[in-house]
Amino acid sequence: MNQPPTDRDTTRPAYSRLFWPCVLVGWAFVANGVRGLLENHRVVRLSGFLRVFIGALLVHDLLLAPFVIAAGTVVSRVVPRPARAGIQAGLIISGVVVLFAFPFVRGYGRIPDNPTILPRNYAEGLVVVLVAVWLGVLLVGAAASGLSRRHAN
Amino acid sequence: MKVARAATVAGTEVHRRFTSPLHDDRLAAILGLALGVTFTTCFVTGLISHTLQHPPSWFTWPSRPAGLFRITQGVHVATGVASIPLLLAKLWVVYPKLFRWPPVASVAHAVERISLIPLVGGALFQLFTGTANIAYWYRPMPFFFTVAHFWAAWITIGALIVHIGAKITTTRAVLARRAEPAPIAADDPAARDGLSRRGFLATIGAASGVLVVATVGDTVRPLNRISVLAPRRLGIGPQGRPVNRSAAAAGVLDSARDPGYRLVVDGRVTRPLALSLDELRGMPQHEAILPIACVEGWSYSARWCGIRVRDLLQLTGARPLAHARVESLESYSIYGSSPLNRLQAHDPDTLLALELDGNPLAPDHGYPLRLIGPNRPGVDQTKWVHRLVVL
Ligand code: HEM
Repeated sequence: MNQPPTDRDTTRPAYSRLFWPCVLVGWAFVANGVRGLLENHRVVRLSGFLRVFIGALLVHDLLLAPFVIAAGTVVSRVVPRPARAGIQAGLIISGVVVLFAFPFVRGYGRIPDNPTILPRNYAEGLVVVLVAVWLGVLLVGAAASGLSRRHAN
Repeated sequence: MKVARAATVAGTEVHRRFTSPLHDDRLAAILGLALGVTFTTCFVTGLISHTLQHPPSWFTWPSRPAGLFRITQGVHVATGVASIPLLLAKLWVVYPKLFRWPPVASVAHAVERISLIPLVGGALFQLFTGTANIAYWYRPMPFFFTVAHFWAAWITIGALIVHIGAKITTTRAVLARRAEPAPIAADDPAARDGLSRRGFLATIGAASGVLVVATVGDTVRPLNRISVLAPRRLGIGPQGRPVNRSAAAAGVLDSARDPGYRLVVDGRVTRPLALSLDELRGMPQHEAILPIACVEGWSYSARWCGIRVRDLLQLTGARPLAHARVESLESYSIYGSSPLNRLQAHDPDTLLALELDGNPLAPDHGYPLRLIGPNRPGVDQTKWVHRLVVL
């Protein structure tokens, strides 16, 4: 993507001499993994495995990535230039943190007989992290604009 | 023919819509290198954990250094968590390539692209199941986590090897070039003045850092308060220590308190033993400060006191190189027994512990007797031990 896109992407990728050996070794690993899954199909439950494996691909490629790209487009049109980089950085980090924290905040894993599992207040924790992230963004932004002003002088 | 032309136009159209200058080879290469390092680290540390729990006959894992497994598994989980922003960033950077038209340019290219299915699927699968597991969120995993995560690791790493073979040339070329400013997409001024390439990488690095700091305190003690998203809290639990499986869940509350409790030592011995709790307390006690390190990446160090396994082997007349197996009152569980190789069985700090931090074990910690030994995964520190089988 370094050149502006042309009408047709006819570039032939250049392959190193190591490509086919890597294909051989790599697919041997893949085959070993598949063999292991098949041999253990009782505990792995292949239909369940495939549902999550393919589901993860589809959810990412058809939902998450388009959503992020749409959000990025909105940000680049709506947010004024001086703040744009900072807002982008803050949103990227916040998005990842929210995604990760989701099952903790919902507390799906809690069980009555073991209060040592998920003992924290994760909603509060998430807020704390987000506040820290945006404070960090503000600080870095302020430092950067201070620097560039000094440069300009 | 017409269809092909229409598809080409459509493909090009989609391709052109990605106006951010950050969909860029240099970023793809740098993020790819970082993921190569983190995924390899996860694979190696994961294989260690797997091999410890399912030791092949030729393999004798040392019992020293005592905290080694605590480190390898702590690194596994922290590195995996750090990979989440890296993977999402990488996939975002290369997302336009999904719509490349024509989809393949040569046989090699077709092989390369087909291998992306196990690569991307496997990478997402590993990070998702790993995270769900440390969050104890089992519903979205309609399979046995450990087994699926283990074999999917082979699929992921295999596809990664193919990908490295495919990208070696481009990566070298792109990284050897001096970084020019990312080209500004010609027709979209709105894409300008956002994050630079360096700013984007710094952001992704920061995201990884935030996730790690928010979780790693379950094993790095000084960060325990700061790690507000960690799945445990050191200090919370019976005797102030977290546990994975309670005595109630294991169904051993009654059998553990049974006055008829005996520790049986048998197997390849000349003088089998059956010891009551009082007899166990009357034997020479040994104290050791040892970590207990859960496979889920949390760990704590504690003071344990009890009887050396080594002493029991000697007392019963076991062979000098004997190894052993301990069995739990929780007999129907897959974690109801665990092996002690000959180094572990003879390590002076491998104990059948009666006390934790100077007090009798709480039921959830394995009352009346639990195994604790150096450099072992927590699942193999068997609780509610009632039998030592010498092999
Ligand atoms: C967020 C990321 C990840 C987390 C939180 C995570 C977590 C875990 C946990 C908790 C275990 C212990 C399983 C058990 O013994 O019960 C484990 C084992 C393992 N992990 Fe991961 N993991 C992650 C990513 C990865 C990646 C990227 C790979 C390799 C490509 C990997 C490969 C393995 C392997 C081979 C094992 C051993 C499984 C076994 O004992 O059979 N993990 N992981």
